Amino acid sequence: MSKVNPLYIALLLVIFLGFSLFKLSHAKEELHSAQEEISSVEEMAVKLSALKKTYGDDKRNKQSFSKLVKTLQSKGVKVDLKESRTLSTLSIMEIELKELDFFVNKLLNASYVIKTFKIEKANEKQARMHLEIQW
Amino acid sequence: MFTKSKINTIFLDYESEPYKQEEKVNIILSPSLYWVKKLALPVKFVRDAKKLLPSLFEDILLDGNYSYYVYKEDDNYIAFAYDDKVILKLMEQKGLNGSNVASIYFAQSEFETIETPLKLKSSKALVKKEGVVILLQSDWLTQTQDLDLEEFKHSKHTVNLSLFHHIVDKSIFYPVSVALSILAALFLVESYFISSDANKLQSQRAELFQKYELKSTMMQNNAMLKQYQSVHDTQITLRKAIAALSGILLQKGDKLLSIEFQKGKLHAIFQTQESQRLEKELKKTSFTYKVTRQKEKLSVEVSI
Repeated sequence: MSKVNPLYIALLLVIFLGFSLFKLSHAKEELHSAQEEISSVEEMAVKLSALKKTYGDDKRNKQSFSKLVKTLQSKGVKVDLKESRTLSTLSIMEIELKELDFFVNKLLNASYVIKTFKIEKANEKQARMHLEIQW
Repeated sequence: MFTKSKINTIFLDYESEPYKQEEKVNIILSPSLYWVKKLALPVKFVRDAKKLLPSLFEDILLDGNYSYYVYKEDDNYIAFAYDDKVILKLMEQKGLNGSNVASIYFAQSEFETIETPLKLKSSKALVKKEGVVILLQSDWLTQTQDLDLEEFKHSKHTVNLSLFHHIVDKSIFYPVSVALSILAALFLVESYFISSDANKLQSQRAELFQKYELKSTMMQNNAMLKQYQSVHDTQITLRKAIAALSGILLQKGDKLLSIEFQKGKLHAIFQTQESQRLEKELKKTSFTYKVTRQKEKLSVEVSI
């Protein structure tokens, strides 16, 4: 008398099938979201790493800036350079336009964080310059 | 409290009195509720004999869904065919609830040892003829004995009534069930592998954090990225604006007097006698700018 209704077995099977389908779709969603997350983390990590390398490496950037200023000095340009931990201030009262071109090109092509920047024409051949680089 | 209470036994026949059931009972089915054959079959085991039953009863059964039962007695097989639905319907009519039935037996297996016909409460009696228990009118018999069900010890041959076997075709039901079970199991196995792939990705995430020396939370990293991105965007825009303003084509007599960047604004002062032409040149740049004219000077302001 205790025989189980086959319809109950069928129902149980359908529930089992439904449950397994749910588990499968849940697992697929989980995988999809994990894939999306990993690609977004990777994208962010690559960007952040590149930007950190460009703007966050103060030691390298400071060395490169000092080298650039020394190049100017070696060409006879009188510079007034004041450096603190977070800021370098460069003032040049007189600079030949040719030297200025060279310097500005180098400056703009490097990855210094320019805080303030001013170039004024002093006369036909010379200019004045004031520059603040933030570290 | 620990002794097993005795279960009452009742005899079920079309002529039985309705029963008021309050506790579990055993049922003995009247011969009128099944077909029985005593056979000598050329098979050794009961399980082999069971396979032959539908064809053995084929010629005597009416259309319907039948269940079969067989057991061995000496060299013969005692084979039964019964319609579950008919028995269940009669049980219902006689007030017997299926859930309160302990076991069901055939009269054949329970009374096979009787010598004297057993008189039922109705007008009938159970008689053993050529080894088969049958139901006869008690009036036809000269010597009878009243049936006392408590006298008999039950055999091990119980009947399993299936309420539902006529609803589904077993030949289809079982393969489909197996197929569905396999399918469901496959889905579960696949979901397990997919989940483990997802877990592997989680460990890859940790490796990425280590490789790129990221902070422990995404919030910290995103904040850092935002900060660096803002610096980068400003510096790139500044460089592009300086290049654009210093690259403007100047006519003879035109001069770029100064260029200055402070507090997010880039100012350039041009000396020109043709400010309109210079403005036309400015329009060629992709920047939004503000122009102020003052005699021969043209001041341009670009927000960075």
